Amino acid sequence: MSFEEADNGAYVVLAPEGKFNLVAAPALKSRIDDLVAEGKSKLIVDLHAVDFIDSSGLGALIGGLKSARQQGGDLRIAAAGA
Amino acid sequence: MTGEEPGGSKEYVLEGFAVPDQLDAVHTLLAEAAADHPELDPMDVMLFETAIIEIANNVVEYGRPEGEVRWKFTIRVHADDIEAELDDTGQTFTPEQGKGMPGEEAEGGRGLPIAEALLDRIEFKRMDETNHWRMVRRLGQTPQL
Repeated sequence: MSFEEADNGAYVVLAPEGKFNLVAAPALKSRIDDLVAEGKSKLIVDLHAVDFIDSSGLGALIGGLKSARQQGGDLRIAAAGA
Repeated sequence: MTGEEPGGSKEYVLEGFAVPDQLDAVHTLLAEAAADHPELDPMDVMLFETAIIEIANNVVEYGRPEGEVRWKFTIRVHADDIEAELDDTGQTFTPEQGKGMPGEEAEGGRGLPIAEALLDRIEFKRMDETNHWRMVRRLGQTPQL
């Protein structure tokens, strides 16, 4: 699974595509952790191109949310089910 | 691969290794069954798909020896329900059924509870060195949103 990334200065948008599952979730979570470590802790995960999500994907979103908030940021999801 | 079961309805069968790359094949297998049964409510298919993938994930993630576990998925569509059987050669274990959802900040532990919430029957037994799962969702029970 690939995901697009756009840094808009105030926040970073990550847009996974296809199945956000056991295979894809670790890579996105790892990228979120890297961004948070770089001080970019305001994140949006754009789900418009995701057609399936499992508990691994959900876990990655929750983990990312916790990482972001610990650094004073936040993680929002957008366009779920779009 | 497809075949006929004794009752005459078609079986959808997938055999191979329980590895991450094969999860797509499980989605494809169900899509094939759904395509042959246009009467199925897409909501039933989606919820059943979510449930069986969670069980498949467990086998892929925790089955040992890693990368060497073989599995066989069989899907059957009946008039009143949709059924999947999953046999795998992984090590014996005892699934923690009925445990409920973990806390909302938990990053794991939702797979089996999600499957249990979406299925009407979920059975597990170990026999002949094989783990055997049977998963059934009754059709047409989805509440209107």
